[in-house]
Amino acid sequence: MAAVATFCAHHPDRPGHALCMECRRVVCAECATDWQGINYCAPCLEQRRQVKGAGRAWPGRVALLLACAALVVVLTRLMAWTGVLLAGLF
Amino acid sequence: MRGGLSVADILDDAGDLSTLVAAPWIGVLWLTALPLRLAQAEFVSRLWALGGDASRHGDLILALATLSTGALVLATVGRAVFARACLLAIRTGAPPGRESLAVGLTPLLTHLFLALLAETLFCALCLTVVLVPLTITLAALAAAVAPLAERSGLLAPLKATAGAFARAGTLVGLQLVFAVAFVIAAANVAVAFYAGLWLAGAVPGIDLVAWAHRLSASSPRFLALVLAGACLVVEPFWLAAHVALVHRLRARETGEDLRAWFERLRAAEAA
Repeated sequence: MAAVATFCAHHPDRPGHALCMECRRVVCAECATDWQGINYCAPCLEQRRQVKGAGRAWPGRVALLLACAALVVVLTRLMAWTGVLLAGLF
Repeated sequence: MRGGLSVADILDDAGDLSTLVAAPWIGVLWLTALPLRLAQAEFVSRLWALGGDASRHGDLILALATLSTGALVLATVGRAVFARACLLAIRTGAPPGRESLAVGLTPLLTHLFLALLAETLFCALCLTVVLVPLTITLAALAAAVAPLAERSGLLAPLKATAGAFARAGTLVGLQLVFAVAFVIAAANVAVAFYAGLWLAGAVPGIDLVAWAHRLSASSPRFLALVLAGACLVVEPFWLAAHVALVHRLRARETGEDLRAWFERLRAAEAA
């Protein structure tokens, strides 16, 4: 049976406190964060946060992209129409 | 103690910012804005020349409008980079480096959305004349608000822009100052053209009479080019002023200005 690491993977001088359920490494009390009852180390938690954040950003970005595409079409037509109208007036 | 929000304070900031970001970010801004200004100049001069017959040349007008809109998208990218450079210069107090190019996708899309909205409103409201400054202000605030965009969506940038409109007195003052600056810049651009024509007189083989006709006040294309040149000259200072204003407003909201003031006090005390 392999020897179990008893020191923190990020701080070799500190005793191990918990096992990160993402990367399966031993981490100290400072590095471990209990999130929804499961221990994670700081880098793995940051990675999860980024993935979750990116997932949340996409619907807004798609909405912005669609709005931009619609505005490009409307703007082009409106510019031409207003231009012709103004040219006829002056 | 708190950073002032008067027109003079903002213009002071804009002057300092323009010096910090001058090389190379004003160049980037001009490079990306030049196609837009030339396309707009061509669009206006063609309409002017066609007059009442413009409706018979619908395809040409629509092609020029499409060209202008495409150039606006490119110009918006340049403005986003410039606004980010201004913001970095405000935060660090030093000339920004290549990190100015790292405009995030959310700020870029936010800026594009607001810029296209401002241009659409400009086209829709230009007949009213009085509402035109409002759309021009919106275009400037689009560049200033977008780098601070944290959440993507349609409502968040509109709310942020509306928040900047709360400081209406300063915004009106800024538009008046830049309107005067625009007229002065246009006069200078026109004089630069005439100076070029005068210097060209020393070069043999140039048809000065034809060029004098092209560069006369009766030529719609020349007038449109002068106005486009004035826009290019004023644009960096106009954008920098609005970025400075929005940054100061945000610093007041978050208390960042008080924190910076307190740090300055402590540093002075330690020294």
